[in-house]
Amino acid sequence: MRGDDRLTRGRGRYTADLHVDGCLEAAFVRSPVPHADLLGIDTTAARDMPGVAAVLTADDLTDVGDVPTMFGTDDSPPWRPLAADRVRHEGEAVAMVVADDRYRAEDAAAAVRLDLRRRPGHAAPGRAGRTDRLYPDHDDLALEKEFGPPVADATWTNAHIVIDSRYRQQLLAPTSLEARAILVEPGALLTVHCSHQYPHGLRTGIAGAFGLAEDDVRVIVPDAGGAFGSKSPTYPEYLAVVAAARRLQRPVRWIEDRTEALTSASRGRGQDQHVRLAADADGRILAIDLQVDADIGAHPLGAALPGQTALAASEAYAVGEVHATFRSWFTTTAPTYAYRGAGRPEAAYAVERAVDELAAALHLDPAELRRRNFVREFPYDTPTGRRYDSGDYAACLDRCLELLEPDRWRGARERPTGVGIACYVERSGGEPGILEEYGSVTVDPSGFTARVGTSSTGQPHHTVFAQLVADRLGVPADTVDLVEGDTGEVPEGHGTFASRSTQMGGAALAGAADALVDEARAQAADRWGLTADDVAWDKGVLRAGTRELPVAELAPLHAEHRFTSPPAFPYGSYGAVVEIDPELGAVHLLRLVAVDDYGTVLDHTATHGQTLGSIAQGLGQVLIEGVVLDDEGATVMPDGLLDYLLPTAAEMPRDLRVDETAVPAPDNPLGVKGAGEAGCIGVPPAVVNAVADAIRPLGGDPARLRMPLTPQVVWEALGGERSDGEGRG
Amino acid sequence: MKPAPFEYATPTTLDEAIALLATPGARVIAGGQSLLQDLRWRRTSASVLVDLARIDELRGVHDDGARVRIGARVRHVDLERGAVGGPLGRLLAATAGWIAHPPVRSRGTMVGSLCFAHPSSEWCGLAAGLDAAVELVSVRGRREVPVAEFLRDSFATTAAADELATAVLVPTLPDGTRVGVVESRRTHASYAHVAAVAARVPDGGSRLGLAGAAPTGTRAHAAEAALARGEDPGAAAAEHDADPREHPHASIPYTRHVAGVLVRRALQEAA
Repeated sequence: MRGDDRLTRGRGRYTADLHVDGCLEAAFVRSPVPHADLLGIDTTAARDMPGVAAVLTADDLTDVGDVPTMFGTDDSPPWRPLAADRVRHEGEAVAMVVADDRYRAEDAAAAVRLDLRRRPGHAAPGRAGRTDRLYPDHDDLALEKEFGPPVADATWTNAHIVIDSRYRQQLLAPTSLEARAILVEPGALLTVHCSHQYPHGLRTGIAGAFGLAEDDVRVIVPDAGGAFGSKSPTYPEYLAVVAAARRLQRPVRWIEDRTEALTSASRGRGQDQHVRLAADADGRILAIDLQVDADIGAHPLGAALPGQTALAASEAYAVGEVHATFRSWFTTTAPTYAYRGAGRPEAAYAVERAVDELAAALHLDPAELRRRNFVREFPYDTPTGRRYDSGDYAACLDRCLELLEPDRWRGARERPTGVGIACYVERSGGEPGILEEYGSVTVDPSGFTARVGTSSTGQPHHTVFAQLVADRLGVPADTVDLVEGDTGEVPEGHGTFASRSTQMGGAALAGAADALVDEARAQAADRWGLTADDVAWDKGVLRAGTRELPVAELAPLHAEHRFTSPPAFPYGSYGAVVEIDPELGAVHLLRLVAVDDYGTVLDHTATHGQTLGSIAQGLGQVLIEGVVLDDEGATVMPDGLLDYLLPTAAEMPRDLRVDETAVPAPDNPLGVKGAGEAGCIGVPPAVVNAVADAIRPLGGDPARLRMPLTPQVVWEALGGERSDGEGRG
Repeated sequence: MKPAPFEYATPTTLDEAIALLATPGARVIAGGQSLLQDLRWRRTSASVLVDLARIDELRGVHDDGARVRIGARVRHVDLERGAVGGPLGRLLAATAGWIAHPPVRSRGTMVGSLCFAHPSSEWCGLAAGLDAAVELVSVRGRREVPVAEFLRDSFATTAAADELATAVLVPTLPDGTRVGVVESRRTHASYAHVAAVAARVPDGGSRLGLAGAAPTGTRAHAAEAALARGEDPGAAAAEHDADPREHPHASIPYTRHVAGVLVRRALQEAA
């Protein structure tokens, strides 16, 4: 595995590893408070410090355009690369020091003085408690949308049972191993090296902000150490670094450190959810209503993303009435944006927790209740506007139960034990606008070069895509080179997110390979005075009768394909067995089962790795992670990764059973669906449902379970604090 | 983040080191597992970092029969691997195994942990529970301070700025002493929430130390007394020995409760 082998041996070459002569290093001065008027910035002392090339503030960037947003609002307030007269979240960049090394840049940054007048901060979504708008000309409600017709009043009143639950999706820090990183070389061709998921998008963003033609900007993605959705925007810091490089006519690099990443980079999730289910006495779900209030942060980077949650409100169920709304609220916190799953984990959690509460209330087996409600006919149009493409949800759940063995854990056990399941349907490939991808295959005398508009941030594209093209052409994989992540080499593309790379990019490459074969046959036919139908492609050799011609002799030969399709809908069933330490409230995973359907799988090693990594991040959300802020949005636990705890290999369950079913995607020529996000969608509701199952017989209150399920949360759900003072334990 | 500029010195004798520490703003570095982090966060600064790495006098452990002297260069991993013998050595080894993860244990030192005085430090809980003492040396002389006096508050000791902690002196445990250490924490590599250390001395009662239950490591006197009276040591520890501060993931009632549970479990382990 050429691509992965290099990375796993520590031979990757990341933005911080690039050597560029004369390169300066940037450090940012950031707001220490969540909300304040910025009355003045004194950079005098900093400018005179050793090694300092420049100190830039908003006043120096007036000719730079606003920060673009991918999922913003139609009427977004202007977002400046450096805050001008007000800071709206802790960690917002207000000045940038450029020096000959990072140490001196930070020394000078520490000497910049900010004159701030505090304003009240608001970290929670919703209108309550607000005394001060973030933007004078914009309401704090940034965006509001509705999906599906409202559920009829009669449905609620006539239902046998209504489940009414509220959940919180805590803010998570995406925390890729490599944080944000950019190196900009000025010149007639502005060259930007950036750890990024969407190089063509970054090119558009930079060109737009600086009034350049796209051809005057080249974005190259070196090896990138993870992204998880957080590396697709054109961040304000990137525009500031470009501005400094252009102004100084020197290369400038910024490597984000962990402290910056945890306080000022985008975060994921961040929703208050209210979900209601109506059902009949047999557990048939009659209606789902999902209301989301999202804390989107101080800038509308991801204002529209909660729409992904609303659109997914049907999950795996054929329910007649489904209504979902979201309201995105400005908050004095760092922007909330895409994080692995980006809206789908939130939906699956709300619906699957509520479905489990429904099963408990009706004393029905949670698996049986789900079976009674599954979508079984495809395509299926959900009331909120999705068209599910294909699947066999019941078969997937059955396989999950085989591996989970729910009955094995019942009966007398030393400690309270619970079993939980969750099913999900998600959307892969993206939304209109990015449901297209470019691929090309070129023949030169040395072999084949494939180009595609996706951009690996650690995924094994070099292995999977080279093999895909090689298989399509019938040639050895080591004769195919893959080029991606460079706008100078690949003319167009939409990058790697939304689990789209193989689904969209793979299909584009397959189409390009097929087009290359057709073109080669046509050219050989011309040479031989035949028609293309008379010429066969045989493992890189054109043949007609006794005539043969290696394709390299037709070089240069080039074929392109632009693939478009509707999104695909992968799905899965997850199961968890947990044991509770009833004295401490600690949750131990005894078994975790993941059965996902990614359509046709091209490379099981690759999908297995995606599943495992996403499971780890799901375990992070449900048991460990969470950004802790005070009511105004100030960081409460500031000690980096000592405070923001992450799952590691040691936190993975020893009994982890991963399997796949494979119902092909009908709209994809390879049959593939996306595979990047499953685990973080399925794991949280499965684990919380298992903990709920464990504590119910003890008189515990599942409504008090909130993520992360710290020992204290479980202890309190078991009534811990009530027993306090009257004989503990 | 990068630290502010500092000088760096590598003395080879104790006398050189304490002379350097008379410089205003001088700081000692041993394993650097906590200090470097604080320097990078610019929460602290140093005019000169005095590195103990080349001072042979600070190496090794010495058992004089009554106390074991653990030098300032002795790392967690040395104790984990059995640098000290007998029941005390077993307790030190078991405790060291709970500290962070192997890379940290291969550099960090026991004396350094006492000087950093993190409230959740396993070593602070053990040293307080066993009535250890810290040896401090400066150009003004040498003194010995009981750990209960040395640990002033979270991240604060009573050592003067120019004093070098050269060793910790831990009373030995008689043969036949049974030991236990248990800990609650959120991930395998995170700081302890609460740790409890127990030593049951034959005919001599029990010694109990707590970390994470109060601003500093503490000896659980009330739990020891309750045990001697045949009462529940856990309830006594929760009510009297624990003095926790509010934490986003651990309320005061919860931490008190956990201190009680862990005292009972440490004693069970030492049974």
